[in-house]
Amino acid sequence: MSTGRKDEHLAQAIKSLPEHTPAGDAWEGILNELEGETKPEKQREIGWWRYAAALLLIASASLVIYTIQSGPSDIHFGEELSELMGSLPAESVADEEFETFRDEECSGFREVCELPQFKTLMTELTAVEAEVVNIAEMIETTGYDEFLYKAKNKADQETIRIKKELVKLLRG
Amino acid sequence: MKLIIGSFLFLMLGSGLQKAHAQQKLQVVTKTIEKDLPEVLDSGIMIKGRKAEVTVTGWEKNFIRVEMDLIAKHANRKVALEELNYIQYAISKNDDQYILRNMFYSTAKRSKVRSSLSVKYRIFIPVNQPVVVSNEYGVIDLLNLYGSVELDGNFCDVNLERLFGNVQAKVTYGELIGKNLDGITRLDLQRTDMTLEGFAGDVSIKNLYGTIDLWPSTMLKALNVQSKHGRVGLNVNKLDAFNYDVSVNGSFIDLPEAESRKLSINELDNSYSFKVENGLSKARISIENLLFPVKIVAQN
Amino acid sequence: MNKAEERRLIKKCIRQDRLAQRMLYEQYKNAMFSTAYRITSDYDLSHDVMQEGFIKVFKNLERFRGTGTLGSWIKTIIVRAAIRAVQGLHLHVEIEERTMDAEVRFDDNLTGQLLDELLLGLPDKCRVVFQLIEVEGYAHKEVAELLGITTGTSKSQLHYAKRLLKEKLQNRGYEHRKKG
Repeated sequence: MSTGRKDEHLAQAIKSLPEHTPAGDAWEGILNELEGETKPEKQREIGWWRYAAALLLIASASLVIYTIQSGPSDIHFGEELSELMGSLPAESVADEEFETFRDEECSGFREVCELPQFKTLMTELTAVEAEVVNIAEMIETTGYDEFLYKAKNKADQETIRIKKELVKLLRG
Repeated sequence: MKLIIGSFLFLMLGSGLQKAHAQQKLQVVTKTIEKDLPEVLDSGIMIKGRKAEVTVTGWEKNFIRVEMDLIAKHANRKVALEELNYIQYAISKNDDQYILRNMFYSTAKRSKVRSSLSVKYRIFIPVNQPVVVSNEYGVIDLLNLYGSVELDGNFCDVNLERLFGNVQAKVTYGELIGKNLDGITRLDLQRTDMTLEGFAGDVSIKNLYGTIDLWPSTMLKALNVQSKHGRVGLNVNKLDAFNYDVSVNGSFIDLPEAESRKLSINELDNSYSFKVENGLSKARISIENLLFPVKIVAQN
Repeated sequence: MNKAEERRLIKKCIRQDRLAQRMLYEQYKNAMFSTAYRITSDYDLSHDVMQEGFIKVFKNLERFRGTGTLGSWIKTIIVRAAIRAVQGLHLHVEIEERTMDAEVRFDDNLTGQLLDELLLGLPDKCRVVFQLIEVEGYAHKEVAELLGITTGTSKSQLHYAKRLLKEKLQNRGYEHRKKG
């Protein structure tokens, strides 16, 4: 077991690890994907996952038919009939507008921005926004379904609640 | 070819949604893994789920049965079948604990997955075995367990029924329903709504930003609730079945009419308290709440 | 680049200014690619990681709060993408815990260049753990979370990596002495 004492030679070698450079055309790949996902101006204000959410499914009424076929005995095939539902939060505070408002209010070192209550709310907002990013990641890797729809709704509602409290504080 | 037809009708989701107009048939491809773990280990089992429905049920047999469904859904069966491979799982053990987990991995050029992927765990375990579960974006169902239970749910619906050992649960952004819990129960809830029915033993709850409804049984030994920014509802059969030490700061205590004269109000710091002793042999219910009310209802 | 310049660059990137995005990429590409390469040990896969990672960076840049540096924020995204890239391939296995023997220490024949070569030749799991703990500075608990393993496994994999590095190093050193 390591005693925890730093190995100086190893540390020195790590410090002098060489840097590797990606291929010259690596940026082109990134640019192509960015260009491919560029949306018209008004849509860009909506987070990309909201756009995806409007297209995706929520199971509401389902008729499930299971069919067991011959073939690998551990794989089963079935069918579901699902209603396509788009969903948007019932109410939302535009992210950009909030950020601008908050930056403007706090740029002059207003006392309210130094209050522990304000800082706590900002920390909470950061935490919820990190969850929103995680949910977006999950949608990418696992597709969108009722679990993630519910999670996104909860996170959105929490974001709205915190922003409302912050705006209340800033407006005095 | 066997044909099994099951039909389920679910209620439409509530208001606030803008509905589109199409129905779509989805192909559901399920791969089921079944494994019996014959050796029972001291530290029992740990399940690390993601986008999973995890059900753990205690049973009388002396081995552990694991069933996992890896599920992919897409309008095109070929796509669902191909993307089923993106679901990875592991069943392993260290010295004294089995570890089950799942994750999602896309091999193909980092393209976005097209199917909806999820996993279902059905675990049957000797009733006294310790269970540790963590899950996010899914469901945790724990039934009929007498040993120690630890759970951590993030964006999960949690259902606990007939748990009689030490239960420690942390649930964030979720919903928790508990029935017939006894033993030592410690719940840490954040942004989680909870209903606990027919619970006994020694129960301690921390609540932040959630609505909690409590229906203790007369076998309760002690209940301690520390709550902030969330409504607390306490429903008892008879008010004199317990001793009470309830205080609320920045909001009010809602009591049955007959008990209202026992309410103390401190106008200086806007706090309310309700303290009643009904006998040393009776369990104590202590509730502190900040900024949100406590409502006490007696059925009789 | 000072903080004010960085903030201006971030704002431009959020507005989808391609030149600004290119500047950001150029500033961090080597450090991030090196991290991705040492985690995946695969040149092509590292490019995939970079693409996925930087797209994610540009999509989520408005969420960067300024707590911590921009570089470490980007590094977190790249590390997660690299782990995802390498992780899915080897999971249907029963994990064996290795018991650890005496601490492994290195002497001064270990250069950065040599370490780089040897690291790339290590088995995936212990290489990733070594990179995350020793090079990127994560704690065992964080690595355990990232990789879905126990802290015990993280520690034993780190020890295993060091032991393997030492063995390879000794062989190399021996060969150099012979030629001299």
